[in-house]
Amino acid sequence: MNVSFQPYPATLVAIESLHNDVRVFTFDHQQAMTVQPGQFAEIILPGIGGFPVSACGYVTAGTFQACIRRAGRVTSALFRCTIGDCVGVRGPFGNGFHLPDLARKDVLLIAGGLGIAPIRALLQSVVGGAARSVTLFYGARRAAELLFLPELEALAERGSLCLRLAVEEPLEAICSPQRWHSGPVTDLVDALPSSTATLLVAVCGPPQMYAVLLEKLATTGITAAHIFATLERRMRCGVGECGHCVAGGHYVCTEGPVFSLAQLRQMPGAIA
Amino acid sequence: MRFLNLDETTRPRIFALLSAVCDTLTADRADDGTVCWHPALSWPESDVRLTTVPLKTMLVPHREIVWSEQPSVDVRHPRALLGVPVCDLAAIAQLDRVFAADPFWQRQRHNLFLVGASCLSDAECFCSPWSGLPPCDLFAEAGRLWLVSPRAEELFARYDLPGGESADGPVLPLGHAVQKQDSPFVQSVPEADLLDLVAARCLGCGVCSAVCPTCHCFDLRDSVDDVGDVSRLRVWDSCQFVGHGRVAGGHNFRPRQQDRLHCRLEHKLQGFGPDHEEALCVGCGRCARSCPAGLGLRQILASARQARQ
Repeated sequence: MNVSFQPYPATLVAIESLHNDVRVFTFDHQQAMTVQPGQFAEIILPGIGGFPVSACGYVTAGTFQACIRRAGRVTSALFRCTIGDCVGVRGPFGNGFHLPDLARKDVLLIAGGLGIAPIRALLQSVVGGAARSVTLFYGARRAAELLFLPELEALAERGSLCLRLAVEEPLEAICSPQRWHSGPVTDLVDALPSSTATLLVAVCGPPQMYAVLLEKLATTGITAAHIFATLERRMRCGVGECGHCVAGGHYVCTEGPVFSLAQLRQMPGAIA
Repeated sequence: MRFLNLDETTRPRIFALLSAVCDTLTADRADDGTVCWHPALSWPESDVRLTTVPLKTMLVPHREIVWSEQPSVDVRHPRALLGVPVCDLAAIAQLDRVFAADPFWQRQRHNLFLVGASCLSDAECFCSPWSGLPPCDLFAEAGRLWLVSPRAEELFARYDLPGGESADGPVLPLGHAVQKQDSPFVQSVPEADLLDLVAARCLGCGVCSAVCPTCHCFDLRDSVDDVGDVSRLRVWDSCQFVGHGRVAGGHNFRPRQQDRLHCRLEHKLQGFGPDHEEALCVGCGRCARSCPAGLGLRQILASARQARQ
């Protein structure tokens, strides 16, 4: 496929505010492209700039949904947009999550902070599927910063999802203590069952989380080839040309952004 | 492979035939001391001159519009570069792989008629061992002009020029006699503590990337012109700049100069992506000639080795 830097027009069809500076934007791009869980697209505000963002869920064919934090010049410009405004998109880029055969497997998803965005997309694709069980460990600094909480709790109430939440603030005000933990999300791994042979794990979170979490998961006996993490890097071109996203000698935009722990161990410096 | 004799009588004819189909350029020293491609008036008599800025500048310009609301018309003529050294051709072979699917690269590449030439090494350069033919159209060496590409064959097939055929092909330069311990092609990236020492002298100016024929980092910039037309540009970037590894929210994956040096050395010594585990340095020595702190690739490896002893 030829490389193109042309933005395709996309109309902003829905905006949902989740937290102070975090919103879910849904774009109707009318292209035959679907951004799979773990893949990403570039959102372009013509004349201002573009940024890469992963899909946070699936709505309908021809739409792209992304959970975006206001962090700089371009995202600020997007936050000033209203429904009906037109932006540009390019993509999809990257490999996405390709979990092996899920039959008789237990899926464990682990998200920290805004890392819930691609994990939610993956969750939507595995819930109600072939997997024997689906568990989500989700952590943030404060309970108010946990995104998509109502829908996650609804899934848990229906029994489709085993949900564990971790926040670093004390828990006095929180009503269901069996679901909540006070401390980093990495603590929750300590409570994993001793038999981990059937586990498939997918992780997304801030870079600091990976160094601790991935090797901790490996010590519980999960095969390194069954632990998947999506790497955040500065992805500008998305096609392995511009050189910004390189980690451990590999282009995260084309060879990733999802890598197994077995692959990451061969990529020095990829996880801090 | 077919060749034409390159002597006093054939040179003007060959030059005239090439000039009829493309703009012919040759590397020459300008008044400010830089070596650039200039219009050629005749077939170059002198040895190959290494240009200050490598050939990539003709294929991925410093600033290039990669998308515009107002489509522009490309009016560039085909150009023939006379006397491209083997190190620059080796770099083009690598970038051909990186930009294999890039229509901008392919268009410029198609427009360039490359005439490679054998050269003598100088104090700074150390060309890589090259196997096979470099990606050029013609190759000048020891009184012969080899017809390397099908389009070169086609161009000269119509004219009756003296020459011959040989199974051997051109003799490529074997490279400067680099001591094995100095050769980047047998090295790995120095350890972190040794890089710290080098980083203390590095200014982070990025000139090494600008003059490196295999560096290809670029940034995408969106702009609006005076009449409101929107375009996207790709602009050269460097992994030596502090913002190169910074993501939204402020986290920087290469915050220190030694991290950024590691990134550069990893690319030159071990390659990225599909080229991983392959040394990409072509040994042109431009980094050594241009670095204000005297930190060419070989000097970095040498200082790391000294510090280790």
